[in-house]
Parts: sequence; C-alpha cells; structure tokens
Amino acid sequence: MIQLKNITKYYKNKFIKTFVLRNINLEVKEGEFISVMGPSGSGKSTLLNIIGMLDAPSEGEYNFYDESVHKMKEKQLTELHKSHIGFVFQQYHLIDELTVFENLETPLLYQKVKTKERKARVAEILDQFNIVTKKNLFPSQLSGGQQQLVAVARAIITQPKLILADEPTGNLHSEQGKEIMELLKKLNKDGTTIIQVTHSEENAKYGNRIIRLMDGWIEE
Amino acid sequence: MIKNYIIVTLRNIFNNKIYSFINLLGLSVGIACTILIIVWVRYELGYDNFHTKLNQIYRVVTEYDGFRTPTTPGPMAAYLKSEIPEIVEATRFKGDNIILQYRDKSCKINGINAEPMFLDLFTFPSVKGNPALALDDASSIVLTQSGAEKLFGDEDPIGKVVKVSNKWTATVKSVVEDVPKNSSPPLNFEYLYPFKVYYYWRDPDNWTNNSDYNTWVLLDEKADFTEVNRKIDELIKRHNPDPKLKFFVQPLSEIHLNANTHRWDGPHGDINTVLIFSFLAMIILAIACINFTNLATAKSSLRSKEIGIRKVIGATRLQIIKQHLGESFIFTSLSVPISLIMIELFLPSFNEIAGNIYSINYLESWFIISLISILIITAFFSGLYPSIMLSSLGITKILQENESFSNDRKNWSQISFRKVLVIFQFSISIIVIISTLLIFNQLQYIFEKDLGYDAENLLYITTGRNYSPEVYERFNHEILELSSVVSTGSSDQIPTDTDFVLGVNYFHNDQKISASSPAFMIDENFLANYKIELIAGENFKPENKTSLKESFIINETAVREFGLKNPIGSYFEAYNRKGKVIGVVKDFHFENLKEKIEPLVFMYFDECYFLNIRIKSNNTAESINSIKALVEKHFPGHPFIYSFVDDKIEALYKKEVRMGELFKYFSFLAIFISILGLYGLVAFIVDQKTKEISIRKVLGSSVSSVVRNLISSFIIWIVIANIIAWPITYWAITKWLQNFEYKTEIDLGVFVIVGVIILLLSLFTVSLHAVKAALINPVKNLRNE
Ligand SMILES: Nc1ncnc2c1ncn2[C@@H]1O[C@H](COP(=O)(O)OP(=O)(O)OP(=O)(O)O)[C@@H](O)[C@H]1O
Ligand SMILES: [Mg+2]
Repeated sequence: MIQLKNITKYYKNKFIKTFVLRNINLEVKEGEFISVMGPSGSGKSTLLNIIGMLDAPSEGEYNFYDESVHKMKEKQLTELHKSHIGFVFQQYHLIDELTVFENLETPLLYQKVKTKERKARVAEILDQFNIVTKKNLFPSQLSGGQQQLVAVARAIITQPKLILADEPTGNLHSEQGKEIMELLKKLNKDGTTIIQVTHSEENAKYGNRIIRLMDGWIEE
Repeated sequence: MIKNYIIVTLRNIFNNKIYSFINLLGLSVGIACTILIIVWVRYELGYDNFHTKLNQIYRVVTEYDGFRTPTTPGPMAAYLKSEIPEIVEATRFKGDNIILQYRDKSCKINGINAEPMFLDLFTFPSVKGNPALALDDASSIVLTQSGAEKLFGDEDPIGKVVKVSNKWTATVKSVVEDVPKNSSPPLNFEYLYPFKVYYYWRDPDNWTNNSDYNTWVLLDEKADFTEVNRKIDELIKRHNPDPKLKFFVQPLSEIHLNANTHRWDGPHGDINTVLIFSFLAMIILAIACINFTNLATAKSSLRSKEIGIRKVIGATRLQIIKQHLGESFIFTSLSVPISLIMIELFLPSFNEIAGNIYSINYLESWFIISLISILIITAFFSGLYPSIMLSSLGITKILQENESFSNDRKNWSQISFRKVLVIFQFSISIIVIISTLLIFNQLQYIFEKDLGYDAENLLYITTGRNYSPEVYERFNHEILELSSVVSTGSSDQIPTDTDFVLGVNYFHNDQKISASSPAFMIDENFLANYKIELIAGENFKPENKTSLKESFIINETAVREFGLKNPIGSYFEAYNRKGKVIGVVKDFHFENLKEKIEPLVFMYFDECYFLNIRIKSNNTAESINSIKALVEKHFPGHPFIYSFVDDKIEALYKKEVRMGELFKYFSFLAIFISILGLYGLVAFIVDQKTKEISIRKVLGSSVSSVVRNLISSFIIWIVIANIIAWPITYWAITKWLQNFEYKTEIDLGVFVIVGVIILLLSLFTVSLHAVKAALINPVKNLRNE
C-alpha cells in the first residue's frame, strides 16, 4: 500500500540544512496497524505528514497504491488524500465555529456527497460513536475525550483506507485514551490500515508493528 | 457547501463583534457615499438626455478671436439650412423673462421666444393643445404645467388671456410637460412665446443689428458634424474673410459638461467636478475595501487553524479562496441594507448641500445595476488578498501549534503588505483633508476680496417695464424719501451678472481701432450709490441733456488695454453713440472673481431696469416692506422682486461652495472610515502583543518597551504617509487654483498641521489600546492561552 524509498526531509535555514528525516525506507501493507515511536523532535510528525501528503519530502520516492506521490501536483494530492486518508491529531482540530454535526458533515461536502446520503452517513456515525445527543453542541462544549471521539468519527466518515493518528491520546486521561485506542483497534480489525504516533509503550502495543525513529533514522 | 460557509461566516461575525462592527460600518458608509456620488454624477451626465433626437441636435457657436458665445445673427438658421444639405432642420430662439399677469396675480418667469420648428428638434411633449400651432400665432403663449400653476392654480389655463410684461396680451393655447430639471439653460423654460413677436421691434432677419439669437440645427442621422463644421467655415469665409471669425456646431450632448463658451451661456456643469467626485467615490470605496483587507489579514492567525483543518479533510486551495471571497461577499451583502438605510437618512441633507432634489427609486434598473456592481467590486477587492493569502498557508505549519508563527518569512511579507495598505490609507486621508482645507481657504479669499465697490446693504429691485420716464422719476423720488434708504441708482444690469457686450471704437496713435467691451447703462447716481470710485474726470451730468449721449465713462483696465494716454476727452464710439470719455473709474469686479477684470464702458440712460437701493443696516425687513409698498403703488401688477447684491455674489460661487461643502462631508467620511480601520487594526495588533506584554509583566520587566516599539512604528508609517501625500496634494491644488484669476498662496502650514493632527489622532488610538493591554491582569491573560 505504502512504499517509502530513501525519503529525506530537511529544512534549509540560510546555509545550513537541518535534517529531520534521513533515508527512510518503509513498506506498509494493507491492514497493518503501525505505531511510530521516538523522542520529541525525532521527526515522527513529519513522517506522518509526508505519508498523509500534507507535506512533501525533500528527496526520495513515495508510492501510494503504486502511484508516484512525489510526482503529483497539489490538486491531485488533495484528491488522493481526501478520498483515501483520514487524520486524527493530538489537538483534535475541530472547526470551532461548527457544531459536531456540521464538523462531521464537512469532509463529505468536500467529497460532493449528495445531501440525503450525507445526512444518513452522519446520522449513522453519530449513532456508532454514541454521540447523537451531542450533535448540536460546539467543540468548546465537549470534553477532550468527546472531542477526540468526534475527530476520529470525522476521520473515518469518508471511509478511508488509511488512518493517520498523531498522538491521538496525548491530551487525554488514560481512561479516555483507552477508549480511543480500542476504537482504532476495532477499525483496524474491520480492515482499515492505521499508522499512529505515540509516546506510550502501552498504546504502542495496540499495533502489530513498532517503528522507532531516532534523529530522523529508523532503527527497527 | 455554501450553507457551511455562510454558517461559519455568520458565527465568526458574532464571535468577533468589534471586528465585524468595524467592517460592516466601514463598508456601509463606503457604499452609501458611493451611491450618493453615483446619483449626483448620473444626474450631471444625464443632462439633456431626454431629447429623442439628442444625437442629432447641435447648436451654433460663434468664435471671435478665441472668444466663444452660443449666439448668432438672426438669419443664420435659415441660411445654414438652405446651404448645407446635412442640416435637416434649423431653428432660432432667444431666452428671455417676462412678467405674466392674470387678474390680480402676477409672476416673473423665464422662457424662450421660439419658432414652431423648435418642437421638431426638441422633445417637449404637449399636455394640452398644440404648442407648434400656438408658436405660429403671435397672440398666443405656451406654458409648462408648473408655469401655468403659478398663475392659474387649479383652473384650466387653456383660453385664458394674460398680460405679458405690461405691454401685450396673449392667450394660453397650449400647456407642455414640465421641462426635466437637468435641461441645459436656456432650454429650462417655463413658457414658450412666439418668436414672431420680434418682428414688431427687432428685425430678426437682419444680419447685422443683433447677434444674440440662439441657432440650433438638426443634422441628418448619418451626418458627420466635423464635416458640417468644415462646410460652415467655407460658407462664412465667402462672406467675411476675417480669420478671427469662426462659426461651428456643438453637440447638445456636450453642452452641459463641455460647453467651453465665454459668455451668454450657462450656467453649465463642469466635467472636472464630475471627474473629481467619481474619483472621490472610488477612493472612499477603496478605503473601505482596504479596511476589510487589513483586518482580515491581521486576523488570519485566528482563521489559520480552520483553514488547515479544511485542507486536511479535503479542501483544495481554490475552495479555500472561494470560501474567503464568499465571506467578503457576505460581509458586503450585509452592509448593503445598512447603507440603504444610511442613504435614506443622508439624502435630505445631501440634497440641501447639493442644492437639488435628488430622489432615488430603488427599483429602477440603473440603481439595481450600480448596487450589484458596487457589491461585487467591493466584495472582490476586499476579499481578494486575504483569500489568496489565507489559502496559501501551509497545513503543517498551521497545525503544529507549537511552531512560532511570527518568525516565518511569509508572515513578514503579510505585515509589510498591511503596512503598505495602512500607509496608503493615511496618504489618501491626508490628501483629502489638506485639499478640503485649501479649497476653503481659496473660497474664503474670494468672498473677502475687495470688490472695488460696497456690496453690503445694497439691494436691487426690478421695476415695471415700459412706463414713462416720469413714472420712474416719481417712484425713485418716493423711494429716496423713505427713512431707511440711503441712496439709489439705476442700471440695466447688476455687477456679477453682466451680459451686455458692445463693439467700441477709439483712436490709438491716430489709428481707429475696434474692440469689444462689456458695457453698463447707468444713471448719474449709480456710481455714487455703489461707491465706485471716480479717479479722473467727472460723472454724467443730467442737466446737460445733449452731451449725455456723447459721454462715456471707462474703467482703468480699459484705459490700459486701449492704450489711452490722455483718456479724458479722448474720442470714443459705442452703441451708435459718438463722443468723448469724460471719466475713469477705479477697477472693480463686475464679473466672476474667477476671471480677470475686463475693460468696461458706462453709458448714460434714463430708463430704469434695475433700481439699486442702498439701505441702512438696521431693520432690513421693514425697509423691504416699505419699498414693496411703493413698487405696488407705482407699478400695479408688477411682482416685487428684489435681491441683495452680496447674495448675488455668493450665488456666483454656489457651484464652488457646494462642491466644497460636499467635499467636506465626503472627506470627513473618508477620514472616519480610515480611522475606523486604524482602530480595528491597532486593536488587533495590540491584542496579539498582549501575550508578550503579559509575559514581560510576569517576569517583572517593564512593558514600556513593547508600547514604545508599537508607537514608534506607527509614527514611521504616518511620516511616510505624509511624505507621499504632500507633493500630490500640492500638485492637485495648484492645478485647481489655475481656475482662478485671483488666488491665495498655498499655505504650507496647513500641511504641517494636518500631518500633526493625523499623527496625534492615531497615536491616541494606539496608546489607548497599548495602555489597556499593559493594564491587563497578566495571569488571567496567560491562562487563556
Ligand atoms: N518549518 C520547520 N523549519 C525548521 N525545522 C522544522 C520545521 N518543522 C519542523 N522542524 C524540525 O523538525 C524536527 C522534527 O519535528 P517533528 O514535529 O516531526 O518532531 P516529533 O518527533 O513529532 O516531535 P514531538 O514528539 O515533540 O511531536 C524538529 O526538530 C523540528 O524543530
Ligand atoms: Mg509530533
């Protein structure tokens, strides 16, 4: 599904190149649940963003379902990532001005899903996540765990093949964190490929493979 | 999707109340001003548009030695029509005013003596009767509806017999619709009187005795008027080879804004004023757009998270641009109803200042089209930069909140773009304020300039026409007996309103020279009454009846321009009178102060068109009442019409004064919108600095350096704005002053004062916010982060 070949990422600052990722080679098969670990600043988020096509590598090849991502234009990238990839972030990243319902609806709007089907899918997911009663509340009116729940719901509402989760439990109590991890595990069981970044060994165990990053190198 | 955008926009509007208020107010005021200016400009551009044959109608202009008048000899119309095939129709007429009397009611109205063909050229629809037939019959008169109402009220005017200027009788045979207000004079008549009546006393078919007829032609639809002008030129050269003399036709559509004539015309509009106001409208709208742009960019950090999320969940860059353009569209759309309410509120005062009754029909297509255009243009230009800027923000940068934003290079370019906009805005405000003040300086100067005569407490009245000299004499005598009257003097015209120009002859170096000069017909009391100083020779002496018609008094300019070395006693000819110069008066401004003083000739007459009366300054109302009683006694049925000379002078500059007044209000609004934008921007910048200020406070260091930084950067912006604005203003005002023959020096002090005031005003705004930020409780503020 995902093939990274010699992916390198650096930032040029005046004349100095700061390397964030060096020579990353990685293969991810469909149905895997990968945990990325490593100390702060080791390049985990950067790696995830590159896989999620939110960021471009400085060098190297990236193939997604045998398509060369590194050669694509911005428009194609948007098209590809919006139909295949869902994101979950540590800071939830919900749109503050929209209610739960509207937040969930927005990705479908960008995919031009018809009104009727859209409403049905939002209703279904609200039901699945047990947040029907919260649908008219704004993010600020929810607890952190509830917000992350909505964020996960938003990530999967487009039925993506791949979910990228950057420290999804980082801001949550362990109880709430566990709930989210269980949810991800269940999604993985149903066939979704998942790559998560985590600092906790315990959470990393939910996955079936662990990748350790150190200073931009993979040390498996 | 659109619903989603609208929801976000509206919630943002409610969540950022100050920001939204500033934007909505700025945009609404901007749109309201623009619409009012459009109404004004449209009225000006719409002059004479109501004629169905507008593009075929031309008037004949005479040019002699570069001096142009829209008048010709009487036979010109018929002659041109017979000689030039492109001229399908031609007619002559002459503007005049008469006193109409019906039973015990009378009024003075302006109108035209016209031929029946007049109605073939121009579009003046009839309400009752056939006006063309009426104009063919010397005993009839045509009135407009409001002209008829003045005299007859609700009665049917048709068939009524009226007295015309106490001399003739005429039957009302037809009533035409009122002439639209934007009809160029003299086509803004209230009556039409048959041209034929001139045959009783004027011999209008004579080429040489009177050249004061208006000649208008209707060209063939396909005719090219420059070709017609060439033919006219050829034709005239055959009869009169004088190279200084030219005739040409001028399109009716150009007359209001581009008349370019020197005398016996107007008042007309001015294309420059129209351009200036159109420009002002664009500037005001631009300021409002800049506010929006500035505030939206300043606020971008608040919106960046939402944009990042939208991109993550699948929005393309184009969709983000569309969303933010849509947002400015929503803001602008919300401003439109507010601006319409403002227009309703402003319109009466606007009308008062502009001296006209403009009305807006909100359902008319031009209004809807302009409104929609303004809406689209404003929304587009307000939203363009913010939407492009916001859509270009990188996702990863936005979503990594720990990333410090302000060090980013892109952020710096935004700040400098914003700086450019703020400086631009201030430059415009400074230009507008300084120009307004300097315009007022000049107008003030004109009003207070020494006229060369004393216009205060001087009024003039018209007397009944065609009475015997004894009646005038008795009347004058009784006026002088009134205790409130100081002195009187009669004349055929009033300074500022001269339209009598004569050909004169004199000798220079033993050579007889012809020239033309404005002339006044006066009695022996006129000069003393006006306090016009006689600097050489003597006044007219009525005792010496025979020499009176052989005497001339001239002004200093005439002495100078005619090169008369010993003016008193020198030979002079004018108006079929031959004689000598007996006196020289000091120059006085008998015309518009915009123009240079010309040579002037006084001649004696013993009729009385205008009686000029100098009254005592106390109890004006009573003086006028007693004068009125005497007018009614001696000239029964004559309407009492009086004016003060100084009012008349003011009226001359009405156009400039009104322009100045309008300019004042619009520039005030432009400044208001700028300050509003500044307020919002400062509030926002200071708000962003609040965190820094709070941290400094917690760390126990002083906040003054933050405030000092903020203030010094604003000072630099405003100084730059002044440097840009001053030369532009100086250039523009110098250009405007060229319209005036007598002008003030440009006062550079005004520049400095305005610069300083703007500086203080913005420093006040900045300090207000900075102090507020400095006083804030740091702990509470940091906890919010
Ligand atoms: N725009 C940028 N310019 C320069 N350096 C950057 C930029 N963005 C990220 N970096 C650097 O890249 C390195 C990796 O960042 P990244 O966010 O991937 O780390 P991480 O492993 O996710 O850390 P954490 O566990 O704290 O989230 C960091 O040292 C960071 O300073
Ligand atoms: Mg990270």
